[in-house]
Amino acid sequence: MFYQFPVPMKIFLSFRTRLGALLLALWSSATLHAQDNPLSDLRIYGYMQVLGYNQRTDNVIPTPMGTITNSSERNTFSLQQMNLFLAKPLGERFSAFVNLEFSLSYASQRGWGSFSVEEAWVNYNNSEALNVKAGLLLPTFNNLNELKNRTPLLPYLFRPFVYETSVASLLNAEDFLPERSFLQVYGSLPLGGLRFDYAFNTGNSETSYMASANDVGRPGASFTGEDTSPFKSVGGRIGIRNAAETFKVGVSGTFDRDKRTDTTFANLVAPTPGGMGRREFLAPLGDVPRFRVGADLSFSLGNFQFEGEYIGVFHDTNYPTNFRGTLDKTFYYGSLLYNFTDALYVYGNYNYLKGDVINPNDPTANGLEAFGGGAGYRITDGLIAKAQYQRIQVRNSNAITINFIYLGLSVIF
Amino acid sequence: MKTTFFALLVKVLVVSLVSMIACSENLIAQVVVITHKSTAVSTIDNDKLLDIFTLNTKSWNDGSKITLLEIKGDSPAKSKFYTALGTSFGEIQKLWLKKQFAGKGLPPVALASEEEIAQKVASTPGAIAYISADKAPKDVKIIAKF
Repeated sequence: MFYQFPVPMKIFLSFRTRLGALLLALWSSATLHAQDNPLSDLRIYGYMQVLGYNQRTDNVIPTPMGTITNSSERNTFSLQQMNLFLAKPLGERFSAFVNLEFSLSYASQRGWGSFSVEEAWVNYNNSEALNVKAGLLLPTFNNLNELKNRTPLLPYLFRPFVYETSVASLLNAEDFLPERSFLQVYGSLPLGGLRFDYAFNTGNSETSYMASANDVGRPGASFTGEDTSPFKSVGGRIGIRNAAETFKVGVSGTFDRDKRTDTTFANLVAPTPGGMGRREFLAPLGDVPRFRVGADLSFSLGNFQFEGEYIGVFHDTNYPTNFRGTLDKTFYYGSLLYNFTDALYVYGNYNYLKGDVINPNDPTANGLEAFGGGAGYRITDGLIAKAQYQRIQVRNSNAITINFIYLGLSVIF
Repeated sequence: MKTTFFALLVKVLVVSLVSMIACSENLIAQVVVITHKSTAVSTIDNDKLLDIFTLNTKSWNDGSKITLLEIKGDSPAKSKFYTALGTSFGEIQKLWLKKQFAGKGLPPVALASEEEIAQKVASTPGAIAYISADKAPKDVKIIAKF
């Protein structure tokens, strides 16, 4: 007499057998396909940056009864960011690229960090002079915008304010930078011994115009992620560099609308410290035309490397007569790095950010500045150890001071 | 008299030794840039080479695809080649990584030996690489020397 499996076990075995057969078939098919088609070489690679840091915050609060000071300190570890790339040539002239980003120890079931499809595009390469990229893409703007999240390429652990993903909940980077586009025409032309680069792109309006699952009522939107406005953004960069990119200079610009129609937070004053984030005005200003202007310069001289950027954000609007603030914003940064060897470097940097200003008499209206320095050591080609000290403070004020000491590893895989 | 003769002898010996070392270094370390015989290029200048090795240029003038090959690890030829182009392998590696992370190109295929590279160039239309001059086979085209 044969042993009879209980029915569920039979089903399980059957399912497992079928699944195994299916996987085997898929694997065989993929292998055969890969052998048959040399263009099917999908490349998967990426990087991650893990860090631990110490943060000490000092607040000085003036009150009618005198000045109160308080301090807090904490230490924490984090998988700051991990990116996974999928790249694939699609014939001689086309290629596809996907960039998946996980930040701040992403774990959906715990509500930590975030996951996002940062890029998913197809590129048509007609020649060096003419390329067309279509799909979700990071628009070319200044030097760092396309590279801001490529952490192994950056000497520091904590990026300049507007490029730092981990402060996305505090700072609306989009107020300073174009973060997403859907079509970009770009190329490079010889110019004497140098190269002239150009890039022009277009995409949706800023994120606040996009329909989201968190919205309560968004007329006209059928799906989340849909642009509900009649506006689009346009922008680009032109610049000059040498082939080895030891010298690079350029100017960038964008035009779009800044959504200032929301009155939900009309009575909320200073929701974030130090003028970092967007603040709602007491009266809605409408769909305000916005120009972002950027300039970047980077060069190497001997063992030194300099890199700097400027971003100015200008709005074309009529402010209420009793209002003395501005929506206009400023950001700039500079970094000077010295390479002792191909593996070891040290650097110092400074960056400054001024967001919306509601009350010019508020000390935070002076903007935030960060300065510090650090070092890095390339242990192997795919492993870089980094250390950084950074002090963030309100300019010309002792209202808030935050000191960070970071230690981290960039890993390329 | 003896001192003068001895001094002269030492000078001659030193000069000879230095010349011999320089000559042998030059012979050993001479680097050539090779390409497939069918490539429609007879010579190439440093600017164009830099454009190719920085992945700025991905096709030859006739539109055919460039296949770039690299040597794995460190080698005297590698050091001499990139120095001749006014850069270093470390800098070029950073550029390759930058382009790879931006989806603008992939770093060249790295092969273990110069012999393998020579064979691959000989058998791959559009291929280009640098190798030591004494490793260059006859079935490839030499388009630059350093």
